[in-house]
Amino acid sequence: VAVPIVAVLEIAGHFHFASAAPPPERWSTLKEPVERLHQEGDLVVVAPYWAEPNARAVFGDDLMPLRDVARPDEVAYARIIALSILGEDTDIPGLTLESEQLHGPFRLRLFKNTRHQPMLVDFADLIDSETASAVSLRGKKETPCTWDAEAKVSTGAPALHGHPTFPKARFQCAKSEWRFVGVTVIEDERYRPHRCIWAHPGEKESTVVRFPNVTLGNVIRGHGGISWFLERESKGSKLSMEVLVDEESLGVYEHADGDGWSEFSFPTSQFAGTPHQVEFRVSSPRSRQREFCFHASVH
Amino acid sequence: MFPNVLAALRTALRRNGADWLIFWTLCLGYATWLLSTVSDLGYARDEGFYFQAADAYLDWFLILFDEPGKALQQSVVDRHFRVNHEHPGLIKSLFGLSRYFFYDQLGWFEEKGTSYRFVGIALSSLAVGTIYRWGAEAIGREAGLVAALGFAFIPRIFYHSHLDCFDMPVLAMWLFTTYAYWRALERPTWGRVLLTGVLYGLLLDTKHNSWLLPFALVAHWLLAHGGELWRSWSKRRLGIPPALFAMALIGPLVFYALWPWIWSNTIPRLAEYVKFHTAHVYYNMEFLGQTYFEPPFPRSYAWLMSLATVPFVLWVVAAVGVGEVARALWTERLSPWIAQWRAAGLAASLRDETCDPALARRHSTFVLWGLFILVSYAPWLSNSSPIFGGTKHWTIAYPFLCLFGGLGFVGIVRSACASLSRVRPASFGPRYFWLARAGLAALLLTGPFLMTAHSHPWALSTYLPLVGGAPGGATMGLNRSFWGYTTGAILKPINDAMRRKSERIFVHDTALQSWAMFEEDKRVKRGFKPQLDVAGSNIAIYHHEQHMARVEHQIWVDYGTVKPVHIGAFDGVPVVWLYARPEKAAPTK
Repeated sequence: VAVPIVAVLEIAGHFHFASAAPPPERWSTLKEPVERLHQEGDLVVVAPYWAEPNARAVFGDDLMPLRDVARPDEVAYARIIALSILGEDTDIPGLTLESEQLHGPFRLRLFKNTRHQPMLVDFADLIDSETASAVSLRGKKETPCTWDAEAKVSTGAPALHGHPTFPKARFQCAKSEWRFVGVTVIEDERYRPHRCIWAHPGEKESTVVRFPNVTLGNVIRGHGGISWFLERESKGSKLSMEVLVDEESLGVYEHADGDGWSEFSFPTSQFAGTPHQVEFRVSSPRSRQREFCFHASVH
Repeated sequence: MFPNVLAALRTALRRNGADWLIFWTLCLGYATWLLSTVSDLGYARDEGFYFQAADAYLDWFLILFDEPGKALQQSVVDRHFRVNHEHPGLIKSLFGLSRYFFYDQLGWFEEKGTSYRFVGIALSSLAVGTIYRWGAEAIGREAGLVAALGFAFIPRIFYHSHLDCFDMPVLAMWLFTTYAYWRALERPTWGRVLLTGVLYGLLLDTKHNSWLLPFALVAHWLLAHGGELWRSWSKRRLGIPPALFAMALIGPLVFYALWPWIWSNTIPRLAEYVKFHTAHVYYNMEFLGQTYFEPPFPRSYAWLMSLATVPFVLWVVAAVGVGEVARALWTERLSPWIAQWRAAGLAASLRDETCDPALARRHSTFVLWGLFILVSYAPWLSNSSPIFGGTKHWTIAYPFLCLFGGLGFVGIVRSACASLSRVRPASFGPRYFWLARAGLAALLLTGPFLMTAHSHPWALSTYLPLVGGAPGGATMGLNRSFWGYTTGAILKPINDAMRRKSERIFVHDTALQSWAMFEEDKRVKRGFKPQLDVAGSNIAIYHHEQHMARVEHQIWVDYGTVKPVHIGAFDGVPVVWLYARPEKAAPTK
């Protein structure tokens, strides 16, 4: 008797699971409720994570812009709209449920983020010739990097093993294509995306990213990492990034292969509320494949 | 006349004809199903490389037909067979010849790609028929039928059966060789022995899985025929089956003859071939949410993936079959032997010839099948065996798993009929047993059939209800697809995305040769210019694998959008998706 029961259960399971997750076109039924709920600065997340492309295809860049999809973490968001299917839950810590709606197979929940720290400045937004500059620093000698708003985009070849995108707008610091400062996206140890400022150091040269006029808050916090595709090999030298305000060092963030997308923070309450020059100096004893990328923000 | 025909048919069927009829029905039925679905399936990455190799080998055959002397010159042989020489030449030669005869000459196929794939389709279909024959001869017709259909209804077998790759050909050749070997053991006629040797040569010339077969056969001879061997040695006879000799002698000759690449520099080239596979480069594979790029690989990989991708009901009936075999081996063979060993000593117990020959043959068959399963999985007992190709590496075990399933089915039917007869002896007599058999077979095979039909053309994205289907597989972090073949599932949106006369398309994991076949088959519009860089493209395909996420990130930054224009999903799980560069984000010079 057991074998026919197994056969029947498997057939039933097949029909159940084949229709359990809504197909991509069904996600469009959520657009209107999400738009109604969404306020400026809200983050839209999806659980399970693998279903996120279905949401992006429907909500587009307005509700799910690159900066949100490839966020450093969730601290900057006061409210989080979590869409879920299959009874899955978001894995973001520190959320308090505000409201919940059910739409067919979807659960739409609004959370208050108890770990929220308002973000005053995102340094990645300031990567522009007007608001930032970059230099190569060898000893005390500075060589300015050249701003190019129409640089040749490069993704490396062959495509399966290419590098993170070298963006169109960037400070080019040397002839080598990879010596630039610009905004791109790297993947972390879970292959999740992070929008960040690429600052590959040179051989015996630091790469310095300078922001001359930033109104500070209580803290500069951020994350750094190397594309996990490279970092997982643990073959590279240590990296360090010194953070300076008005040429005064706040401290050094060190990154070793295997650390993954890791966090740093430096208190700046003594400078809070006034504009200052902020500088990030990235260096490494050996420059080979030190594709360092960081995100930093003022809170 | 009609009654005469029926009578003749009945006589023919009675004389073993029914088995041939079922054999050919299975082969032709499976081939028809594969051919009717082949055009929906995109070309996998490796298929592209084999199209190229097949064309190069075909060119050589055409020279051979026209100018044999020229074709046999080393430089000519090398020029043609250098392409993809890391695998033997037989199957790629057949791909090329199939193209020549069935597409170029006879025009049987509308799509050129199908003509290469026809070799795999034909061999896979013959494998289904052979499973039936073996099962029918060793156990009974219904067992053979359940085994053959159970095998045909494994979703990943169905997928691989479509391809111009070596995985199904090597499975088929292994099956043909071992079936011939088994028949040569049963009755070692010259014809059967020679055929086994020739088939082993063809197996050697198909793929390197062939290297594992001698281990299984030697182990089988020792385990199942150890006593016989002992008795032969006592009488100063070798006691080794002639088929094994034939395989050892004829196999390498056939292998050599059919692979022109090794006609010169034989030893270095063979050494290179062996080294390529024993020191195979590690690719990557996602398993339980982690992508493995290099050893150590998890030892649970092969077993868990098998459970997740082979219908569970087949495992259950196979387990019943294995249980029956274990019980029979214990009660009919091991237990009496141990008793005799205790009573008369080891030497005397080995000399004993009282075992029923029919029973011994039956046991020998089951031990043989069991060893083929173990040998197929054995490489994955080592945590340094590469796992890049997923389940296809050990599919050779599946025919034998299904044959045990056939045996299990017979056992289940027997006990079900016995129970029903006991419960309602008046209304359920032996004349209704066929109904129980047919009903149970239909019940067991319906699920696998439905799952297999449903899996097309998503194939490798298919996970079965035991792990929660495709969504369960995605949540568990099991690889969603590889080889870039899912391009075939979104060709319409790709064609629809063409906005200009000439459109640069990033084809991601689809090999350029595979894309070229889409063009030849007119499955994509003219005017696409395929490329392997995201930069400079206007349309981008993204084939999801965990480690490929970085490619999607490349697209976001270059295109300035995270919004796919189309998602190809299987059961709600995104598998392959398409980006179109927004007009405002024109590619840079």
